Amino acid sequence: MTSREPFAPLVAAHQQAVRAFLRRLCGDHAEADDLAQEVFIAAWTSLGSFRRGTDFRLWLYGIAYRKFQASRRAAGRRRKREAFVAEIAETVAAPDVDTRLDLQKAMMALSEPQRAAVALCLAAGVSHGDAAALLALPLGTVKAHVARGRAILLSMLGERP
Amino acid sequence: MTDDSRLASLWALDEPPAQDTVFVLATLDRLARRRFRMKVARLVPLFVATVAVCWAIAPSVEALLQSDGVAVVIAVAIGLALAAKHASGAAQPALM
Repeated sequence: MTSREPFAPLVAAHQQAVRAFLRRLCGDHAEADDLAQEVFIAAWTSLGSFRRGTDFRLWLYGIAYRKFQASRRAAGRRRKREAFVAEIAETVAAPDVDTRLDLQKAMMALSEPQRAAVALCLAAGVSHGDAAALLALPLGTVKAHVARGRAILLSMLGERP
Repeated sequence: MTDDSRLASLWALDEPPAQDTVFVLATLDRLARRRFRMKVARLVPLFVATVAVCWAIAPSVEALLQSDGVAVVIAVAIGLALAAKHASGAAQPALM
């Protein structure tokens, strides 16, 4: 990939993965999509720092995780209000609402690093080693987060009749 | 159904569409706006510097004009324009 390569195909090719990852981290579709756009803008401005031969999607996941952390730090009342309104709107429209909300609720019960590890390793199929590098955590910690997060998710979802 | 496949099927319900033109266009639109703001931010100091230089050299230019130094003034103006064009044309990836 060169820095002169048109950007639209890259957005089209990776939007699903980035948005899905952020949805699992944020628990809110509107906020996740907003962050995903920021991720692509950040990727565009720092395309020069992308190392050839490495996985572009993993690089985007790294940007997405840092954006998520930054947004959490800067979280204010306005966004919470918007997210609440968006959630109501989607709740009305989406199918399998109960199931989806159960999963979201269960994901929100995890700590942020646990959620990120689960979203990467279980949902996105990223290896433990890559996730450890991406989250800047020791490999053992990531494995523990995944195992513990998985157990919490299953126990919370198991309670549903 | 195993635990992992159960989780996978639940996550699949929450998956964004593989093709989403609306999202791609919204992202490119936002990127174009950001790019425009960055360009303006880059040009503002150049504009201010140009105005300051013009203001500083105005008396000399005036004196040159009065002493038939028009050719020198034109050459300097062309040089400044080329420098401004070079400074504003930083390499960035194309959007489409």
